[in-house]
Amino acid sequence: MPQFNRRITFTAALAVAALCATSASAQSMTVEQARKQVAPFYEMLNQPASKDVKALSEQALSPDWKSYSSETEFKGRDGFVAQVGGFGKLIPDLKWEIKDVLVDGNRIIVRSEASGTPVAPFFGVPTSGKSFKIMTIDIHTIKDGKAITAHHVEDWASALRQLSVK
Amino acid sequence: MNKDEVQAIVAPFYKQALTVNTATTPAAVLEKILAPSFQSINSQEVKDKATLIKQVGFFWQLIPNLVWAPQDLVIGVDGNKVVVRSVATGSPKGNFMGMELDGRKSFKIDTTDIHEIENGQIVRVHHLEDWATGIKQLKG
Repeated sequence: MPQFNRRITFTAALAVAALCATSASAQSMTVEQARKQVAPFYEMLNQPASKDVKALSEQALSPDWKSYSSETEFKGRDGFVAQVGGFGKLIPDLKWEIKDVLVDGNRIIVRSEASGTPVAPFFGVPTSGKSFKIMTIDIHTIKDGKAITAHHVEDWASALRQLSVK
Repeated sequence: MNKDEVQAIVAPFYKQALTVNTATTPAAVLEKILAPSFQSINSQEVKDKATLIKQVGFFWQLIPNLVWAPQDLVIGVDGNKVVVRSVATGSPKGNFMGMELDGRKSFKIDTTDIHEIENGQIVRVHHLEDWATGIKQLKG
């Protein structure tokens, strides 16, 4: 019996240790660590044409990463790389400046200011040499050092308004 | 603040002020949960408390079936910032974003807000709605 009790105690201690480790790792990311974690992602969105977007995406995103623009619609990693490549051609000076970073367990929330000057028609708005500057918010979920999902919203309606102003 | 305390402050913002209901009014709810120095910030402008209350009241008239349903709530480790991701739906009737609408077309869009809380009230919100998609849906 003592042997049995010891085993129970040992198993319980292991379980507690595992729980603490999980809890510690969930709580351990600091805002600075979070900034480092998401840095390659935002690197892709700053003058994308001058970056190796595919390599950065592989560094930042898991192969089955999903980027949700609504509850049900999402893009995968390859689709995102293609889209960012398109943005690089359309908005060569695209800038995605991080304004605020929040962390909760394995989730990182980033509020940014995206700005740029399209050099070709943009969502149907003719080229005018005008620039946009809009708010964006992303909610990233991280697992094993890489992002597995992103929920993102950008204020494209304001961008179109800014580009259309006479 | 724990999740329950945060919920108690931000849930009425969505379920009672941004969702049209018969139990209360946007003014009654927002007067209570927004700090006097409240600021509502988006890409275009900064609104104060009185302006937001007026705008939400206008939304109730224009979109009588407006529902703002929270899907996810994240509390930053620093404790006073809360992120709420929601789905907003509604069928505007009247002039909405330059479109004359008869209430037969609806929008369903994602929204994300970052609230800052002080002394049990919301002092600042950075808010973002996917109106580009909403406008497309209402025009379609």
